[in-house]
Amino acid sequence: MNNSGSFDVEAFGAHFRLTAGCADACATLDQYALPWLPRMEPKAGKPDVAIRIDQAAGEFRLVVNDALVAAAAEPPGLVCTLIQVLDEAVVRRLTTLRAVHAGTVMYSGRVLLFPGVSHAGKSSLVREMVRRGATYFSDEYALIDEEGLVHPYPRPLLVRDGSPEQHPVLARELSARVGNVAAPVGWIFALAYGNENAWSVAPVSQGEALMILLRNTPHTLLQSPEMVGFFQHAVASASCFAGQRSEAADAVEKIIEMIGA
Amino acid sequence: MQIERGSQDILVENCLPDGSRFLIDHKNETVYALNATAGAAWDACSAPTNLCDMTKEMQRSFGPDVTEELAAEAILELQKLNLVTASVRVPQPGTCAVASVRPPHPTRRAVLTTLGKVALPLVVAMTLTEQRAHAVVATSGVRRTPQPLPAISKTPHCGPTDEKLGLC
Repeated sequence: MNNSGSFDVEAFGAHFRLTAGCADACATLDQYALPWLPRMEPKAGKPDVAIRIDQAAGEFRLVVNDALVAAAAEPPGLVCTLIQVLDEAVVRRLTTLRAVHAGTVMYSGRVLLFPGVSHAGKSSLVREMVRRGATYFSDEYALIDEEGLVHPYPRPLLVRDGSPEQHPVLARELSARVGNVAAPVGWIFALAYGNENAWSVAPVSQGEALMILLRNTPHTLLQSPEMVGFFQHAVASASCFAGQRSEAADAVEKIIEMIGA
Repeated sequence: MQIERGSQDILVENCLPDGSRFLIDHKNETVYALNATAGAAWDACSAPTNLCDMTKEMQRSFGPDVTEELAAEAILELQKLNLVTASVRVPQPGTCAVASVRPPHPTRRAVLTTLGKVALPLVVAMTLTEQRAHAVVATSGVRRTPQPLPAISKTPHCGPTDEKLGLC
């Protein structure tokens, strides 16, 4: 970060500029904005996305491309929105990769995907897998290339811990290894969470798994028909399962038994 | 009696290593996932066929566990989504003889009793409209409607990237 409290980050072909006017806000941006990527001095020219934290009228404001998107009493109160803004900007600018809304870890050299909607408990499963030695890729998006390999997108985890509100947790706070190379998919578990659910999981075909990925991608088939090929390669190497689960710790124990790794 | 594919020339077919299929029907803007059993049935009716021949064809993939009841169940699955048209007559036990123009309706229990290692046929479909609806919610949290900045007097710059982001 330079003296003016500004730095640039390149992520998946998108150019971000992050700016803050005070030390606390600078530290927040540095800590949580795409934290695994190198910070650079601001380049000449207009970035794709300009994000700044302004202090005004006794509050901190998160401003994206000159539009106010959130306000909070302190900078950490803006972090969840900051992460979501970055996620959305990255996903919308992907060129060679396609995203699936899925928790993602690497285990024994292969990627394990937990596709699911918000509140499906992806972050809980990812955190539990990481606790048991998995390498962290992402708690939100699996980024898949045309060969079906999954690229790490190790954003800060947003966890709920039973609360309706999310809070950010950095991978290093979990002492997690963070993925740095793309890897093939080994397993896909599409699991619905319910605290009274009994563990009930069955194999599904790779064709059904492809359908599951298409139900959990932010891209539309009309605009990105090529993603069928990307996802087809991804599921081709995977054992796929669907069903229901209860708490993350129990579920992960059973998952590790099933994958036999 | 004849079983034939309903959409002969509008499907793009993708085969997966486990024998399942993924079909894209551009004309009807629908995608289909067929498990290996339904996929074998789909293959078996690549040309107009009948239940007897279809059963034999499926047995080449899965062995003698495939019965006429299972083949008929696969036809029903494909027929429900208009992937095949069929006028199948009820199979008599142990024969390929048939007696009606309606597809047979083997009970799930009847089919299950015939199953060995072969999975029940399953076909899942999704229209592109449904897929687009899923895409809207497959994001990291609620999409926020940006508010104009009260403290900024100049008009915010709205380039193409900003419009894509929905920030203008």
